Amino acid sequence: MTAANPARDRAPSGLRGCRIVGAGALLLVAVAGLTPAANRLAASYAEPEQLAPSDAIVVLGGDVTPDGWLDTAGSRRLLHGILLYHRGLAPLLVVSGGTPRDGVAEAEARERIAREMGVPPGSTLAVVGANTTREEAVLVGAALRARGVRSILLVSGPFHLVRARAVFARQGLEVRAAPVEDVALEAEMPGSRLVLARALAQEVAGWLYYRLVGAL
Amino acid sequence: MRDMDLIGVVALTCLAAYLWGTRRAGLSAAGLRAATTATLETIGLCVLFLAANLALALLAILVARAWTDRFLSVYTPDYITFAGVSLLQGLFCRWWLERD
Repeated sequence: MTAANPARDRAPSGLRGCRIVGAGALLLVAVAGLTPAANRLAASYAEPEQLAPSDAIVVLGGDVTPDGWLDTAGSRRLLHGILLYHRGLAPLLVVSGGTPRDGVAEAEARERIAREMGVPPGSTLAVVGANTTREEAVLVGAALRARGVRSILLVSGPFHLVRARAVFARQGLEVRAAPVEDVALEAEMPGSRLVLARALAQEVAGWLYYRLVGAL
Repeated sequence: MRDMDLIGVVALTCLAAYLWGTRRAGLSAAGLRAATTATLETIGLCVLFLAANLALALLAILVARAWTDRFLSVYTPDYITFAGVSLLQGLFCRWWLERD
């Protein structure tokens, strides 16, 4: 009989746990990628559209490159906000975003684009300095209250709006959701469904974090 | 590619590999059970490494936010790269256990 190898003897119990984790992960990926489960969960979680005339349209931030280009989600949100403005749903378009990085503030970059797309200077408001959704709610809320704004159309992704709508409502604003898809909600391919599931998981985690820190 | 197409293609390549393994390479069908177990263990290790990597990255971001003036978004980490690196870590760890 050979001498026992301690490392070898210890390995099976730890690996048994890994086996369960691995099987669970595979099952989760299979369900998320090969069944419509992600689509159904996404449809039930997403904030529904509540378009109605309001005092202002608030377009939440995304990300901006150092030379002033918006990321895809941020561009979609801004375009949606500008279209809502041109449809006459509110007389004021509010854009917000992070603190300046290499001289370009996201809110200012967005405001510039909005003006170039036909929104008059007096109808835009750039709120600079908010890095998180909660900070956006606080800073935009204060700026809008000072202008006597009571109701807003809030533009963001349909999952993000669940959290964002709640934090803006805490600022005493009447909030109506104007979701714009930053990920396909009707995903038909396994890869798209996995992207959808990941986006949903990310936003649910964000919502849980906000609950945990008392922001909701 | 639809779900059934994907499953069909994967099933075909699995069948081809099984036939090649048992008829040409001299592998035993009984060895499949051990291979399945090892695969699940490796995936489990990868998932654990991924969870640890992400938790550490998020913790570092929260610490940086609290202790410095610099704002770091939780979207900053490259999650795809983390997944790839975690895969390598899991494979490396599994082979290490196998050979030790």
